[in-house]
Amino acid sequence: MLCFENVSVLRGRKTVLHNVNARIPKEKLTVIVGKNGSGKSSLLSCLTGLVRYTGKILLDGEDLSALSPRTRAQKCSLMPQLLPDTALTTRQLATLGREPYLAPGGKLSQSDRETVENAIRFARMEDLQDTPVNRLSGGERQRAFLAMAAAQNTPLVLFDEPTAHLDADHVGCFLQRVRALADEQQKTAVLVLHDLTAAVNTADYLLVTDQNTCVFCGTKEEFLQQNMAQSVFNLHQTAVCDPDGKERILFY
Amino acid sequence: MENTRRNRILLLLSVLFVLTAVFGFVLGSAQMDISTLFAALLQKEGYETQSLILYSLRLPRLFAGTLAGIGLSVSGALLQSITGNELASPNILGINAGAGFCMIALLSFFPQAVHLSPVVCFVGAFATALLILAVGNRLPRPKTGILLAGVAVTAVFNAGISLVSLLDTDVLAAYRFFSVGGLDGTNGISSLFLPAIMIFGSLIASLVLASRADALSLGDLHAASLGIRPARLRAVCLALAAASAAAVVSFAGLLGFVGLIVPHLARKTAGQPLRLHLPVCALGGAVLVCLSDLIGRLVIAPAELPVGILMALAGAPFYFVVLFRRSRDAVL
Repeated sequence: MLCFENVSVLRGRKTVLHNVNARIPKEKLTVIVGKNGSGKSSLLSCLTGLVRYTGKILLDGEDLSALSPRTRAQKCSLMPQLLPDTALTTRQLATLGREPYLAPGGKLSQSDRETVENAIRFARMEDLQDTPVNRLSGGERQRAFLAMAAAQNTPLVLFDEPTAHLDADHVGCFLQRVRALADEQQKTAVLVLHDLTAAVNTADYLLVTDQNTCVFCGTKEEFLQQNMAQSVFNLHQTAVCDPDGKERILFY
Repeated sequence: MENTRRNRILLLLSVLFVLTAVFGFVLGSAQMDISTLFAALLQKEGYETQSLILYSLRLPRLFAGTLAGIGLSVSGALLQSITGNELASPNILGINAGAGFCMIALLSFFPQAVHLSPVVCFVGAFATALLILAVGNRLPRPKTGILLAGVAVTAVFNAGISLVSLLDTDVLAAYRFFSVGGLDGTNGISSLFLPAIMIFGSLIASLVLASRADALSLGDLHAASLGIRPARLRAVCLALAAASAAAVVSFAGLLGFVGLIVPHLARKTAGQPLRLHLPVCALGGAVLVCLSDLIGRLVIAPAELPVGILMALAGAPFYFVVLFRRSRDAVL
């Protein structure tokens, strides 16, 4: 679905990413983990058209650089790490999510309106849809922008550390919604997370960045088998059974 | 729904505008009653003097006030949207300072070419905007970068204005009226056609780009994610804001605060998205300027208080209110 072939990013003299080769599979949830400064966010930013990179990025077989911004926006959306303090309401944000499909000054069609409604419902923001986003709490704000991403309705959805500043309760809720994007809506979801426990327990696939390159790209099982947590983060792994009998991985 | 709310506000403003226009025609140093007004409008025989006053003075003045109101408030709305800062306005961005500098240089060094002042003003304002864009857009954080570039450029041009006035002490008398801003310098309706094209053109273009500009207000990453080229759109919006403000400067001088107050009030009443508050800005701006002009003509009749002074009296406290509100919200 998403292929990085020898992708490098330079910012001034600094190498942000070096020779990244990775394949992100379709309709699965992939989590990117890595230490701070290892290039995780930059990997996602390459897909916005704002970052100059060398190498090739293929989006569903097509070269990313050959796509117009509008076409690209219909195939892939990004929720950045820092969410702006805006006075727009959730409903207005969700409406903005349809922008890649509208002509300049164009009006929303009936199907656009339905997509907006569904997106607000998906993000569980029906009650708060007319509140300005800058009056919402952190968790609510995250869901407001989730509504916008859902309204954009792209086959590939990217999230850059969406749970970084959320409390434990909201982290779980949010990841559950992203899981729903992959499972119920057959989207390819890519998340950058810094919490390894949350990452491994949510993901189907994992991509590990270390020292500005990709050192691992594979299934969750392969990640655990190869003990990547030890080699990259110096963490031990163990499995516990929760009260429902489901196995959960813990790192310490 | 939000559209209904906006439409109600527009209706109210339309009524206010008509009332202001009628009072503007009827009151002043030469008073008219309603029947005289209608006779003068229809240019009936026996009402030649009133017709003359109406068509050569009051109507052009109303048109000028409307254009100034629309031009400045649309400019302010665009600037506040793309910088994400509710204190942005054509003044803060140095557009006015640039025009002012070109104007005072013209008055001082080429007084014989004073008839070129509209062109000079426009060029000065627009060139300043391009300068700010060139510098600010390239900075890592363009939203703040544009504001900082504007502050820097304003400082430079204000210094230039002070320098010229020090070297040529007579020029201040001529420059004074320009720097305060008002509608008394209007030279008939024909001189307003070119500015009108700029101002209405900017308004229409802004309405078309309204949702894109909203996306831009969320930051470059979000805008890019939505399929927009942020730097390009910012440049276009800045150019529209500059053209609009520059057109106003060319006939009304450095009229301040309209571009700050009106968008602010429009957003609070009609809503954050540009497609909701831009029309309210345009009509609200027209009402504000025309009403202020009317008050200015009546308050110390037969002398006139320029619109710029009234706006300063209302505008300066407004800054404090905005800042006070911001600090109060921040506590939460």
